[in-house]
Amino acid sequence: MKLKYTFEMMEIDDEIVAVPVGDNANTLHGIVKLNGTGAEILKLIQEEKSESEIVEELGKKYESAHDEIQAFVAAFLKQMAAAGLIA
Amino acid sequence: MFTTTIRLAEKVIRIHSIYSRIGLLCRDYAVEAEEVDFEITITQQDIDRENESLERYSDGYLETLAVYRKICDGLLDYDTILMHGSVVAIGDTAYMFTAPSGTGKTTHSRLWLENIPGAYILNGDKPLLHITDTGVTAYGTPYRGKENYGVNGSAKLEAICILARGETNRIERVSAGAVLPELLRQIHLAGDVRAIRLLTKLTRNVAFYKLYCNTAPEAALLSFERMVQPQVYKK
Repeated sequence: MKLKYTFEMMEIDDEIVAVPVGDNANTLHGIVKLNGTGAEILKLIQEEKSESEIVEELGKKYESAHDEIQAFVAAFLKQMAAAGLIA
Repeated sequence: MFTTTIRLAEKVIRIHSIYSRIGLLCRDYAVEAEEVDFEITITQQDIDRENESLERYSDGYLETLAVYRKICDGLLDYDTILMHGSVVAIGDTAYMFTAPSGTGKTTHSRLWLENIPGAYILNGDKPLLHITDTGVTAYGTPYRGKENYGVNGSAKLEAICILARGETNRIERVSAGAVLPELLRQIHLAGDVRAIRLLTKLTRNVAFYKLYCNTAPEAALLSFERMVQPQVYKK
């Protein structure tokens, strides 16, 4: 799984905002506002982790049930794909 | 080739150019120096890349744009960023107005000159901002816009105000997050990770305002009253 853009995270006013940087940055006319978990997932996608690897990483950190984390990650990835951010 | 050495935002930069116009533009910033912080060299390709519009500008003029582009790229390594806007100052404290071209930054800045004793324009178009963990310093540059407002000086930047036209004058303090899209539009090299990291630091060191204004003197009096600390004015 690969992102179409490279993002730099900005922590602004207790929010995390992902801003596109790099060669094709000016083709994405927008920024991505995230919560803490979303930022973690985005970081793992940038490291080119697979969906199951992302679920596993989050499972190590959070006490939620595996199914819950899996559903959350799936929903997040669906949103990212719908926004045209995932190749 | 021509060689010009300037001091800009506390950095000594040597410019190797094809045309001499850049020397004239930067004459207020020229220094004699053997040691420099960095050098830039302009090629014809750099000049050709600046000619994006249909109207043909001279290569000498386009070269001045290419020079600033390369200088600003180099200055990012020194925690200094170009932001499009007009910086007005009183003493050693500065306030920046930013907005898309044609909104009224220059008009509003001129209202400060006409109505706020002691106010001056540090730079009317393309100032440089040196950003650290403890504060931001705005610098004048040779790139002053078509009205040529500016001086070779510096001042501590206290606030950035996003300007918009309004029937009546109204100003509000806003969060950095609320105006982040506008800030991203106005900083140079926004696709460069160094610029984004500096912008993050910037948001922690200045106050942000949104001003809706017309061209009456009251607009300047309002923005001054809300943005400037009373003790600064008493100086």
